[in-house]
Amino acid sequence: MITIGPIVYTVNPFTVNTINKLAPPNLNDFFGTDLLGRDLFARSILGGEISLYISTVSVIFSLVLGVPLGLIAGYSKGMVDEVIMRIMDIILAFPGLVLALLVVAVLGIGINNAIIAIGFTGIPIFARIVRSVVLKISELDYVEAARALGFNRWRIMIRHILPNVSSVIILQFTLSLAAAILTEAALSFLGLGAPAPLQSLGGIVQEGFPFLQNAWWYAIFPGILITVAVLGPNFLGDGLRDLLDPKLRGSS
Amino acid sequence: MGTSASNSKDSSNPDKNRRRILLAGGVIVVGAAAVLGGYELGLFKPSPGTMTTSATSSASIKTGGTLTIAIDSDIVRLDPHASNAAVDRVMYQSLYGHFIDINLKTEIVPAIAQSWTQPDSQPYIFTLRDGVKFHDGTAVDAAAVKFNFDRMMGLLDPKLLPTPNVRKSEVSSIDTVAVVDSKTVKIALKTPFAPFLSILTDRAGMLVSPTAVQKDPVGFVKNPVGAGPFKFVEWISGDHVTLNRNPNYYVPGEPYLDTVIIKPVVDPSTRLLDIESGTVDFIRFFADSDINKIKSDVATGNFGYVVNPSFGFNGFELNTMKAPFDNKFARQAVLYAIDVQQYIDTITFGVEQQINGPITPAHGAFYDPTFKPFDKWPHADPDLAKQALQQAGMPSGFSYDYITLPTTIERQIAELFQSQLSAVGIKMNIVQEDFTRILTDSENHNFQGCRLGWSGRPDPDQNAYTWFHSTGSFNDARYNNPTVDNLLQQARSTTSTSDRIPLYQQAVRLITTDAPYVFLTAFPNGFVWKSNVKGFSPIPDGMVRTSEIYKT
Amino acid sequence: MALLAFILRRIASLILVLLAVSFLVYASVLLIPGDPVTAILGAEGYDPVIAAQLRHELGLGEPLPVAFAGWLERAIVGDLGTSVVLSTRTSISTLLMQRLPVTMELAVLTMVMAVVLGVLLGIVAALRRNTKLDICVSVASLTTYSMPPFFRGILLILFFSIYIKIFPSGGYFSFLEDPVRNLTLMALPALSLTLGLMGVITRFTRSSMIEAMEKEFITTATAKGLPERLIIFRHALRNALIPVVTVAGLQFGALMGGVVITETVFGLPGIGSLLVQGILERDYPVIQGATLFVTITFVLVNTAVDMLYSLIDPRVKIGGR
Repeated sequence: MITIGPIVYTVNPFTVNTINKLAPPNLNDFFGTDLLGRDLFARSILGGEISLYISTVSVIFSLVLGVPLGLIAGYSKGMVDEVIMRIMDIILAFPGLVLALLVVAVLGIGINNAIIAIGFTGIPIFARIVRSVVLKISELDYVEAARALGFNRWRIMIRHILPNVSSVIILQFTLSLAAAILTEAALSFLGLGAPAPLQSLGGIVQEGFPFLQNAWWYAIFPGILITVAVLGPNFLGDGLRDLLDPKLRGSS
Repeated sequence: MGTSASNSKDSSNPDKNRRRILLAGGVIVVGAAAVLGGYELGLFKPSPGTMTTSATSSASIKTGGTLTIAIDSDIVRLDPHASNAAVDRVMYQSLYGHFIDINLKTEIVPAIAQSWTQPDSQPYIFTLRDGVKFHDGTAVDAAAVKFNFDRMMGLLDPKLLPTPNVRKSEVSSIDTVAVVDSKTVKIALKTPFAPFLSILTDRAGMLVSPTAVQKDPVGFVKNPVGAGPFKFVEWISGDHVTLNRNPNYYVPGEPYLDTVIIKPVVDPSTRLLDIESGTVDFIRFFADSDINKIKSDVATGNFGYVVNPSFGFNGFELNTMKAPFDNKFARQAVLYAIDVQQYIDTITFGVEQQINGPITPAHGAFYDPTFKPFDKWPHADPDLAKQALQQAGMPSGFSYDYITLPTTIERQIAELFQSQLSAVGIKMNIVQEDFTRILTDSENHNFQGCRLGWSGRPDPDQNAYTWFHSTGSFNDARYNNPTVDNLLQQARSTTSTSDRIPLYQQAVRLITTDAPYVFLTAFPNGFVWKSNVKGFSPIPDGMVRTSEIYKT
Repeated sequence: MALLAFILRRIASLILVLLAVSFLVYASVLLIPGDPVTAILGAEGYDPVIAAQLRHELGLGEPLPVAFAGWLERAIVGDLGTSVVLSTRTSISTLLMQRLPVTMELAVLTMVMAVVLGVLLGIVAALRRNTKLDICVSVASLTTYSMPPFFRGILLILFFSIYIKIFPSGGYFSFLEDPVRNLTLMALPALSLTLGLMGVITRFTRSSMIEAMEKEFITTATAKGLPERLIIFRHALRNALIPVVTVAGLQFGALMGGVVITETVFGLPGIGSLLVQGILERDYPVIQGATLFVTITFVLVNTAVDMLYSLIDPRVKIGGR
């Protein structure tokens, strides 16, 4: 529903129509209208696209930085490994949302800053899981052989190790995406996410919160959408996890 | 977050996955159905408030009890001479009392000063009440009064002065303060200045104990000593201020309450829920959007409320020294295109009243309700706006930046204006900055349109002169009209109200039509109280006069 | 002794992490584009006394190591600087101390409720696995766990403050003053956080119980009669609960983030809402102080849980990674 977007639903989310302000859900405005009479369904679709955009790009950011770090750490071992993992530990020392808040406090409010903030928080997880897979794999014979034959280490990493890590990365992508959507929603609910007029779903909930008594639909529908958006990757991740490693169970 | 336990040990994978997907779909469908179905059945329609509080019908005054007041933000400073936040006054009212006061009709009435002679171009001679004491026992005599004025004027030892000295400009009209005898003070002004008395009804008239300040000037700001109906007990920043009854208050029998607790509750909906749930007894300011909820609460008989225009005005400035608003017709185009009525209906839910200039209905006879800047006002007149654009030489419109606060409601207000202006071809860009920066930009004339209002003062001069006289300290739009200057100068030099009224009314006509500022509404003073709280007078300055309040 | 070496090593790495965290928090101010003091106080017209104090506290103008050392020295003694926007001239440590009881109460209530309810629900689900109840619990916990914490709070307010007026939705009264009122005010905030944390604990308890019970059933295949089943049940429970404690501890991170949001939604004057206000008002000393406080608490709790886990769980070798 969200990603189909304006191609399907042609109501303009910005049209002000104050006579119809704070209308409850009806056949014209499925989610009701906001304070200025704008259609909340249209706004939510736009908001959902922005939420997903920010979350996805953040996770890609984490991945693009975290995977190479994990590869290098796991393959090089020794001092390099220690240093990289220590840095990851320090990032992980901050509770997730608090670190994102700190980054936004320093950089300011904006879509790109939100992406950097959320993405930064997600780097260590990718680095860690990639590293642990790399550690296991690099003991294997064919990798030892390649190393003994003097192949370039980067070539070994990319051609031999990376393909084996990819399944783990994909799984983590879904889990990190769920977390990123939640963090992004939290940031924009506090007013620190994507600025107006392109607010994400969390921003719309923030707008609607003062009207909870008179117009519950304003805050509730966007919130439901966020939940649905998080459930998706969560289910996907669960399914993938079972698919990839049926013996794997419990959490660590 | 992001990890979950898997249960794959107990069933086969494909079955489980299918079940999960079905479950997910099921949950979503059921959820949607429940919401829509609930709505249809009316389950989700809020019911009118049915809080039960103690029914009261006693007509006689009862003493004792604690009154808990919820206000809109935390107190900033405890020293009234250093305060530049209007919210502080709520506490000061109880702690310090007043030198002179105003009543419901905005007339000046006695308080600590029992009487005064008010001659034109002669010094004011105030006679103090007998037996008034500060909370630490120091007498409120002429010497103490002089100490206070000297403090505000900056004439004392630097370490005794308030930091920062915010009242200094307010008392700048004073020439000398002299002690005639222990009960009489003579204050001479440099030139006749009509608003002088009204200034003394606010923080400039709140007296601090000279003994306490001299004993510990730094510690005083944490343990204030005044002469009001309540004494300072404690201030837990962000949580509450506690004040206890002053048994030596100069009005016999008052105050009736034992304790006053002031709590900051920033979110107005939470504030309202607090009083509905009984956590607090009295709230100051509510969100306009809650007005229907409040009316239905009051209909149950358990609450009371009042909302009146205050002295404050709100709207936005247009910089007359910066393009495009150096062109009067461009400003007028904005004036004609803004629909004040739509603002009132949509944003304020009908609570606020429109104003036609910097003087509000709270100013009584000074306000002229018959004046309309153009025929269709307070509705918009897009045709007139387009005409003004032609006259301005900008037939296809123009664009400008509008600076406002970063709050959600301010953004929605800006979006409303944006859509009103775009109907006539004016493109308004919304720029959001926090309050400190807005003040700085405004003072440095670094803006085109800027949303700034003012809490106002009891005397119309203070609203009009400071903002629209060419030398006015708040005149950030740099409005310069010699006729208006003349009118305002005359109006502040005479103390005869009947002379002043026509001068202000004429000045307002000129100011509003020249549009260095687009006026919207008067800031409302809204209060809600539990029905067992009695004796509250909604005086237009927005302070809560606790000495007369009692609980039954 | 391997144990002593292990503890010492953990403490050494703890100190390193704390230093690094402090440094990051301190140095973040220097990353603000432009002049930090201007960014915080506004372009012009700020009180020069406050500006000078801010400059001194932030260590601007001094070489980085010296500045950081000075800041750290003051921080260790408890001087975290002064607020410049929110509550001018109030010391940050005073603000933190005033607000700490609120946050602590919220955190403790939440953890207790989450563990108790989560474990109970997990046991019930394990005992009734694959029944409708099990599936309901699963779905419900997954859904609440997928909700943003503020949305859980909003839903709770909608149902229990607005429609069914059981609980008020905002404000705070000290527990010492009025325990009943305090608990009714804390009920919804704690519940909204609990519903989020519970999910993981429930699922983990469930699978842990199932695993433990199955092991016992296999080794005592001839178990018959109620009393023996009860013995097995109790034994399984004990084994199952050990890792649950650590899972609960690991939820602490999610708790910290959730506390920040929940305090904002319910208007609780805790450290989380202080942090948010500090960011919105750009009061950097407050941001630094609150972030440092929350992070250090988080690190300490994690380290404690980590060490506890290593000590308690016989499956983990001390000294292994």
